Amino acid sequence: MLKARRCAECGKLSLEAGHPCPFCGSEGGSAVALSGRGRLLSWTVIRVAPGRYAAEAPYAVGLLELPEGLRLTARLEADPEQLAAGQAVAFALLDPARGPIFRPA
Amino acid sequence: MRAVAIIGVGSTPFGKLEGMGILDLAVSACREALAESRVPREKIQALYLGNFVGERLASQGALAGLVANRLGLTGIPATKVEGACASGGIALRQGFLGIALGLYDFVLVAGVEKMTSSSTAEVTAALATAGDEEGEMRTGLTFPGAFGIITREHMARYGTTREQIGLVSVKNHGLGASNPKAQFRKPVTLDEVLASRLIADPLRLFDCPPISDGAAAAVLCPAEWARDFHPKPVRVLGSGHATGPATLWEMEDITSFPATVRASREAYQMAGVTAADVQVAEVHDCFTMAEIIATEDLGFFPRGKGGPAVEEGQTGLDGKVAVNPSGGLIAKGHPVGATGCAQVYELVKQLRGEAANQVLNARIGLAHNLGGTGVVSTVTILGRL
Repeated sequence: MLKARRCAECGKLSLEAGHPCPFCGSEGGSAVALSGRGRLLSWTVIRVAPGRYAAEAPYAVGLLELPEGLRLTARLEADPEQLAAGQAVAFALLDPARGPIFRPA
Repeated sequence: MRAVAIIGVGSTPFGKLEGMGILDLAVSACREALAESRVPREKIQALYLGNFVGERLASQGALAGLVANRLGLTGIPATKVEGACASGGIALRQGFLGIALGLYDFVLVAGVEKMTSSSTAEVTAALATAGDEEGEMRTGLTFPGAFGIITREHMARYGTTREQIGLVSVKNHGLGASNPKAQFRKPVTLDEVLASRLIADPLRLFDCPPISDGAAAAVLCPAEWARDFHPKPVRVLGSGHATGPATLWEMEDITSFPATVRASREAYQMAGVTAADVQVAEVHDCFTMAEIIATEDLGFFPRGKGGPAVEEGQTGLDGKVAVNPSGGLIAKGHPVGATGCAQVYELVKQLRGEAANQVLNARIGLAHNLGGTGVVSTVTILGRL
């Protein structure tokens, strides 16, 4: 399951568990469990990839918003031609190299 | 603070410069700037050099000291500065501060990059290091990708059309065609832009800058002595340097870069001018959409109106503000560490009345340099002395 940290100062959520809040630099915060559901704000299809991911191209990367108030950039496991703004997405797995992966819900 | 002037500039052509290594490029631009300024070598007290991926793509570190030695400036402090694609703008800022604060009287600033010896995959990976690896780039996002996401949002929010965005490329290629320093010397049509291959949807090949080699340099001194060295000195009226969020998810609004807004505020305030006073601007069009956003963030047009402004010709040579008369990064080329200095090279030529694509009666010019996904920006405002 995906977890976020809610900042004790500014109240914003982030995935950066071990670091100060990326928005305000404060230290304190509490863990929040995320539903793993969200919607797609905007996206792209990477057709020219950096060397380490060249074999995976084309692939989609999106900016997502989760109902808990968290935004994140994540790899999408989806047919790039089927993506649409506002589309529902769901957390699929935490890839050790690529971070959280989402799929159309 | 002391008033600062630019008394000499130099630039290599931009492009695939076979047979020229990263040091050759930097030395060539610096020698031209020094010769133009007629400042004797022994008077130069410091060198600031902008460079981003020299260690990775040209296997060369310690660049500032090496360039100083090659120029016969051995002994002076020489400092490499890195702020991704804003490295050149930051170098200029450091030189400006050194003179404005009275630490030095004569400073050489330069920017350089050697990129064409590497494969596109290597360059893409090297440039991606300007992003936040853990926070975003590990997903496989690239810079064209980040701007693809931004472009889609700008289109959705403001109704900016794919045609308006493509017209930035048409304009800049048209200008590059008549700039002898430019990498691309051929105009393109809107149809060609919209039919070019997709790189990161919705951005296509002609929305992107090429992979380039190049260097640019400038010599700075206190404005009060400037006329002793050059008949048409250019004054640095204002300088701004600011940082911003490094990832898309941290940005409150991905269609605006807070670093640009902050840097321009500082520069406008120092210069005592507003966006309406600027006749010519070299802005960081690392992608077509980046130029549209820059013209909004810098206050040339209201938010969301950057697209229509291009379509109406307001950013053309005889528009409200001539944007990227050099051809910009897209057509002139984008040797990333050199770009900030090359923008200043173009504006100095404009303000002297010596530019290839001369803007009539250009009196105030603005250079806007952006690094990463907006993690750093510099804005420099120049005027005739």
